[in-house]
Amino acid sequence: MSEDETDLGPEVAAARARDAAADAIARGWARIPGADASDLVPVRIHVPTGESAGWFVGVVDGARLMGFIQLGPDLGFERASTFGGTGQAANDWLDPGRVSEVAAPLARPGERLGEPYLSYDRSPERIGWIVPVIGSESGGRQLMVTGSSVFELHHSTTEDDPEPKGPGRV
Amino acid sequence: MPDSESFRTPAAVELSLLNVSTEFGDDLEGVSLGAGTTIYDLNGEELFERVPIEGRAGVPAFADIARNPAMGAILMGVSRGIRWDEAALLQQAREAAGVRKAQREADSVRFVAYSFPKVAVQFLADGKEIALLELWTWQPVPRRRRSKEDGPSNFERWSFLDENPVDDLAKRRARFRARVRELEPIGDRLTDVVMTIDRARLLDRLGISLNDLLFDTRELHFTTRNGDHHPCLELRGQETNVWCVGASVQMVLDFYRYQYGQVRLAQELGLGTVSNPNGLPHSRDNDVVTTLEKLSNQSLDATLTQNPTWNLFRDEIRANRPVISFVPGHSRVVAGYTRSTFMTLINLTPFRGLLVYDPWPPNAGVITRWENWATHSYTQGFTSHVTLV
Repeated sequence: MSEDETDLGPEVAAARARDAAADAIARGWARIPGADASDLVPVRIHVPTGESAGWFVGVVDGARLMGFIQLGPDLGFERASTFGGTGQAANDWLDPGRVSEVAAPLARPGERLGEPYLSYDRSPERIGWIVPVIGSESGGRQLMVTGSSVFELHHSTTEDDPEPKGPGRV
Repeated sequence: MPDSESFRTPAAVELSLLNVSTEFGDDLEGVSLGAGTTIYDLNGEELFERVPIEGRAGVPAFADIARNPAMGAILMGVSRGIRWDEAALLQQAREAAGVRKAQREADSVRFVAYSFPKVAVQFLADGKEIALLELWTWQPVPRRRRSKEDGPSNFERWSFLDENPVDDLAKRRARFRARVRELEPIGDRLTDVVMTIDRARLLDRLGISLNDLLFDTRELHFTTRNGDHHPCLELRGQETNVWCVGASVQMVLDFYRYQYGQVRLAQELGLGTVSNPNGLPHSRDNDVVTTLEKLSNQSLDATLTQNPTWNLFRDEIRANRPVISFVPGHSRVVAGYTRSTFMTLINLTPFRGLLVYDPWPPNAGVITRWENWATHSYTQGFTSHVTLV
């Protein structure tokens, strides 16, 4: 487990993630237009079991999320990505309250939504917020919110896949 | 032939570009070209000027700047770690010559490239040589003993201008003049930032970052010609949360001007429907190959490569061809690469990154510039090229 998991408070860990993202920009590894003048907003990525899977550092210009820098658990640079056009609404990606609002239409009667956490679906490239569905009939359903989109996670799409080494491409 | 002063500005541009390359670290930062020493050919014509330089780092060095186009280059060389002090060298030469009592008869003294690039101090009386002492060793350079047809020995004088082949000198002059023409506009525009060498100011004026110069980078263009526009690949977000393969195939077919929607591609790839979609199982990876070929009417020849290497991606991009890249659980399209050449120069592991058109998140997608090659597992790569007729 990395140092930031065990020894550091969340603010210090977030500051280190922000510094690592700024370093990636300075080194030319993260090519996001306007990143130099934008705010860097780190959010921790978790795997469903709760362990840290790294950091999503949003590149925010006002209310718009222009892109993000993804770091590993050790703060190593993994990628820098930009959204097309004018980016996406920053709150859709950075505010758990807003994530719950986006997820709400898929909750069925009698269900309620758990606390969202930033995670991914199968592959770290497929990043999004997982929203657990709580309720007697939910059957452990999970919703995923990616910006303004929401869908139900189906982990059975490749159940009939004879390849034993992992999921198919989704 | 332009006078010697006219080469000062292009020489300063050359030094500035050398400084930007960081080949000399920061040793050239703050250097200004001061007075230099003219170095003559044995036949008496000016060849080049040796200019002492010392930047803010305080490392002594000197630059050889051509005065004669036959030298072939404006900035002929930069030697680091040696201080060029003309007065001190002349004093040493006089002392060495004094032993031979030559200096009492001399009425002039000059520096001569007696066997280019080796330099000596020449004492003259009434225009005739009375001593020629090799720099630093102060050994007399022997007079010519060979016929003109024979090559010079290791310690023997020969004239750069008179003994180099005429064709070779002509080529050198042409190359020199072409370089002067190339640098003149830059020098005119940037005189204030090259006459005192300043990397940051020069890059700022040119509107580029140091990183632009230190990376081997290539992205898809309209053709392999560098001047053609780019990007030529459009990002397509996957239309369901499990159609990354369909979106990737769509991007590649679009690139080759075969236009299909993801619903149609899902039929071909067996990915279900929008309301009941599924991903591509491992057992059907090769469907990507058959779909690319079938939907291009066999105009595309596609190939599946297991565990694709960096060179596969690099070579395909250099050939201006996108590559579908599978990583565990996901599919994307690679459209470019970058690699730190500077890190290679100093024997450190270079940063290598891929430009990735990623169809995730659904209905949006992202363009990743760059994806760290070292932190990802590349399981399959799908290349495709237009079938030649």
